[in-house]
Amino acid sequence: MKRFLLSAAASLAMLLATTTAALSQEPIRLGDLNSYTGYAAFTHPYRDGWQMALEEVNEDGGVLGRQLRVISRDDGASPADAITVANELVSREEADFLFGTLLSHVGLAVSDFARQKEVLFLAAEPLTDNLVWDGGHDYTFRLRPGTYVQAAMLAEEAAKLDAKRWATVAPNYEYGRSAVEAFKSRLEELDPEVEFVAEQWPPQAQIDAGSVVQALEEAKPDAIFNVTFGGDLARFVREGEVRGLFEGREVVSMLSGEPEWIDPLGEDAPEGWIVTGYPWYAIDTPEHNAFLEAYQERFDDYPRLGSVVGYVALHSLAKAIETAGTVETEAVIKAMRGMEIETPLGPITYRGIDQQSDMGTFVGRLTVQDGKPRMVDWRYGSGADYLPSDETVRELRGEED
Amino acid sequence: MDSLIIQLLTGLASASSLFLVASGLTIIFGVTRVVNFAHGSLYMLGAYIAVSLVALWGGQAGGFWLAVLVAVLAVGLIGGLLEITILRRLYRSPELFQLLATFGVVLIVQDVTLAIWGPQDRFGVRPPGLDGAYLLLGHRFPVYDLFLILLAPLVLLVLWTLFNRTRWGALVRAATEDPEMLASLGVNQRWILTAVFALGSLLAGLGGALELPKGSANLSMDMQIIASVFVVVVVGGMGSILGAYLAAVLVSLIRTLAVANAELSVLGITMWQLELVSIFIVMAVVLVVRPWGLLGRPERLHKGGLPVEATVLRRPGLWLKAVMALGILILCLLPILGAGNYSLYLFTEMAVFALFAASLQFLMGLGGVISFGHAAYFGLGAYGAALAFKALALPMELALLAAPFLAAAGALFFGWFCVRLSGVYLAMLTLAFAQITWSIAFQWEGLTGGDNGLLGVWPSEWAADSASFYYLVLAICLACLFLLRRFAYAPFGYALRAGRDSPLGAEAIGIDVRLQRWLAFTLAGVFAGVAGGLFVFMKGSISPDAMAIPQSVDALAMVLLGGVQSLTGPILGAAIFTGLKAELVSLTNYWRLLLGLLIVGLCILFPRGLAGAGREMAAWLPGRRP
Amino acid sequence: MNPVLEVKGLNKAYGGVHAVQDVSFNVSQGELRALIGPNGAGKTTCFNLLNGQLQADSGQVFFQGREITGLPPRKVWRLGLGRTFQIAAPFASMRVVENLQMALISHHGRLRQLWPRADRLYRDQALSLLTQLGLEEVAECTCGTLAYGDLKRLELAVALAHDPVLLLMDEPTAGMAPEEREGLMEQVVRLVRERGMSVLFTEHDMSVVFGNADRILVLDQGQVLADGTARQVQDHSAVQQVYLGSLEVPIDPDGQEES
Repeated sequence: MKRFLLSAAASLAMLLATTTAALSQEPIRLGDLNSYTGYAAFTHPYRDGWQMALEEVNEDGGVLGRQLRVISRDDGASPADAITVANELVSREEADFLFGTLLSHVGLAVSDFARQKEVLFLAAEPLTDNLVWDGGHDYTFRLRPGTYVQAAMLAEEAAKLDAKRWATVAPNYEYGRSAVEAFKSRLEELDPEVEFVAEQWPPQAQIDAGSVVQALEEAKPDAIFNVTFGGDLARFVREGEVRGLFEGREVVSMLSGEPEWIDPLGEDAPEGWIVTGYPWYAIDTPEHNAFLEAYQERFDDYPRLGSVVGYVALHSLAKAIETAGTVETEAVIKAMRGMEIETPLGPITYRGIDQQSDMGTFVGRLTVQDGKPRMVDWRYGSGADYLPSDETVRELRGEED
Repeated sequence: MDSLIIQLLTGLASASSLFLVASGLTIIFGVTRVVNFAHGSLYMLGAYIAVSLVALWGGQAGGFWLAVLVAVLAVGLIGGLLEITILRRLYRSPELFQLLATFGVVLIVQDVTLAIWGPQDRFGVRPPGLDGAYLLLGHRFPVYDLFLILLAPLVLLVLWTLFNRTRWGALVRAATEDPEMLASLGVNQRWILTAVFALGSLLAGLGGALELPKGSANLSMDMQIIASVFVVVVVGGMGSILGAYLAAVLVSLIRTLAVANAELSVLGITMWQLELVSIFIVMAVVLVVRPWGLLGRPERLHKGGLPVEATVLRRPGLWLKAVMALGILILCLLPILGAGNYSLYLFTEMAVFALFAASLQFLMGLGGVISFGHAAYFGLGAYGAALAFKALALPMELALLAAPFLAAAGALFFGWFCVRLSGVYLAMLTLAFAQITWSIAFQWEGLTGGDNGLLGVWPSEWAADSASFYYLVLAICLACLFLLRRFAYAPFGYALRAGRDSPLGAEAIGIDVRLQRWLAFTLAGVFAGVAGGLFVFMKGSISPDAMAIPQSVDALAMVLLGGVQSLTGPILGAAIFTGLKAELVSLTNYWRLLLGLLIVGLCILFPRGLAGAGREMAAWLPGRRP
Repeated sequence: MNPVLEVKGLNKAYGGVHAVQDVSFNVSQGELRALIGPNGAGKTTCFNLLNGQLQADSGQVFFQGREITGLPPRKVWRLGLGRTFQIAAPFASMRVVENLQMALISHHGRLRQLWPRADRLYRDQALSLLTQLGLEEVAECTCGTLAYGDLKRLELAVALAHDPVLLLMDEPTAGMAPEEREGLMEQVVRLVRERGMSVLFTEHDMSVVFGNADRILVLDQGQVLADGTARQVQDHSAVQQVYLGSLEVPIDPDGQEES
């Protein structure tokens, strides 16, 4: 009955839309691009996420009475390929909006493309804060909490520890460096007595884990801040455990609670680490339960963080278009600034000042339950509490007022 | 001191892992002369098959080793099948053509692995009994690392015995040392090549399976290892197993020392900034001092069984000229014929890559100078233009002029060292320089924007729309392609070919082959730089990716696909490769699989490249003598 | 008159083996001089030392009174000392006539020109040289299709393009049929006399050697065994010993190397 009513309502909406604009029968086209081949572990759940959102939106009658259509492409994990794809999406496929990307440099290149072509781009996953601050502009919004927010949340937890001598290990590229920089400066603010005694910058995806662990061990730190992920994390954890690096030491680690990166480690997941992540198994809110249930039913799999990001990204665009009442880029941008939207993680807002959403993340301790990595003692920190002040943001964006 | 010893032992364990994989590659190259890009894929398959079998057969020590054994044999079998189905058909193809086929295999294996094992990394299991640590000099040292340290010399010994003390080894060596082997292959000798390829693959699989206890099986492990393995093989001397071991130890220890002293700063460069590039610096130094690696022998001039007449560079006949004229006319009319913005964009991209590929063909086809690092000059051109545009605030027109200068400077400098070498060693030195250039762009954040690159490099107002920019690029690329053609048919190009055909003969009529090659290297760099400059304005941004290994490999693939001995070939190859890739990407997320299959298919159907096939077909046209 | 080429105490060793040991000789203006000896006597090594392809351990080479020891082959060539190879190595990707044009382009110092079309440069000159050697028929063929004798002729033509003062010819008739050898040598002799150049050549066919050479230098195990006119050499007892008394049928212990 309910479904019938829903579809009836949808039909009605469709009918209304048809009468208002005969041309708008065509679906609204969204162009999605992401590293589906290069970083499949993160992007496949992401794709499932927006896929589910797409079905929901269209079942509800679409947006402005028009169906949504997503044209999805692999960005080849390279900025140059991503620009080709973005061109195709905008020019040939006539996508009205772009969303997606995971890698920072790819996200930045597409963001710059969006500015040049005056297309709205919702950067779903890239962590670099350049997207919204130094290199921010009107055409790019960003959903996922950036490096700064995640590092700042971890720094807050780190400050509560007794540890004074810190070592850092982070991949040698912008993400790793800005994570360490943000963590350091925030932690030094909170606890002026800390000192950083060693730093390691293994090349991304090519860590020489044994040597890194040995070098860190040499510095005898009280605690370690880790930013490595993926295959590097696996190797770092393994060497660190065998060589006893983690014994009697606190480890604070970026993203390591995200199922994408920690689940492959299974029962070997490092216990006791303080991490940011996504405890999908333990979040007990109506909005998350609904999402979890729907997701599991749809895909027969549990959601990863990427699933949430993909899901929210598509709903965000849908809502922005709905609010704007048109697909005109400028109007949608206007609608999206300050827009609030319900998500599985609770309500979030796209800030007007830097077009960054205040979606937050979960901080907790890793443990292993029934052979599976789990976060315990976690809390959700909203981005709103960690994002820099408007004044700082204006300064970063190089704006006068 | 104690900790230094522990660090060195750790480095030795890494060296062992590297050696296992490299030994396979060096054997394959030494005997079959195939530059096997797919070696990393076999390594990855070894890891994935082992991780599945270990999961099946449980955590008992026996189960673990059985799983490793079966995985290794399976990879050996896969390697053998690769040789029989693909490579065997290509031994008589032009130089390096097999490289293109193995590149296709890389693409196929990436997608097949993703389809079978899924996107998530598979964490490895530690073998029972080797999972703990010994207390060594007050440090905990993994038992497994000790196992690896001992295993490598054992494998080295077994291989040495196999090649030097068995009848089979004697046969293999006979097959290797007889240069006319391929022409006179009997059935039995064919199987020797298959067996060697299977053995090499098996070792790659072993390397992959034994990497598991140190980490995970993941989808990027093929690309991560392949460059390092090539470095080890070349530094050691291609074909030398002992050389590969020494090289593995050398590069691993140097890397370990860089990690151990990560924060040490010399001349404003910190050690951790050098970690990844350190192995390429080692290779560059070794090759400059010892042009055939540590234990390698001077490379025999290898003609790859190419029939002599096929290499003749003919001036285009009437047919080809007519086709080219028509092609150019159509290209010029495209915007008027109503091609959409995206089509124009694609054609712009094809033009840029056609110029890039043609510049590489100039060097490879005419000069016999193989480059695995041509992207360096493409990237230097791109950064030259981008920096002129951003840092010097020059307009696009002047920034484009700056592109070839930076590229030329780089090519002039690196080329001086490269042309002293020959063959694959030369190619690997170009790769080393490309990686060093990449690393500078990657690390010099203040100037280059680091890994995020330089953004906002868009064309001037008048060239901003697709059609105008297309015309700009088309005009420049056609002009440059015309120049390259002209150079090829000019005395300079002839002298370059003379040096390739017969270096001694060329010297004996007064040609300074090295100088000729150096100038060609620089010229090729200049034109690659022009292409790079156009590229950056087409993309609007530039990041170090543009000069990374995949970019060089793409250029190679374009040249080989089109036909290395033809001036039109690379243009065709670039257009097909670029167009095919773009269309496959919009068709499916399994575009790598399709592209790989197409490349392998083309290799088998046209074992002389598309231009070679075209030439054979043209021979049937009326009015042409066969 | 000063000799065109003067060699003083040339030495070259590989490992412990003396390939060339204390070799001294000279070549006069307009002279056709043969260098003979059994296989492994050091003839080719000697050539390689003369034209700079190999570096001598000690000793000196003077060409037209100027020391050329240690100069690279291309510089030696520029001074007017050309050579041909035992195994012909033409530029396989070029037509026959283009091989010659290549040499002429080099001769005129235009190797680094980027603009003119090479196949239009010195074409007439190249064709006339080919005609002199009886190769006009195959001018437009690719080298891969050439008979071996024609390849050797082509090499000679390439060497002549530079108008050398002295030409080193390493086994000019190797791999040819006997009747063809005679023909080629006749051509060589004619050219030498016409042009007034000097030739130093190695040869296995003793009839070719004794029928044409003005003076003969005999090497054995890297050392000069005899040096003089055909008659002097033929009568030399040590030479007879090396060739087992028969100068008509030289011993060729490793014959396949030549083919």
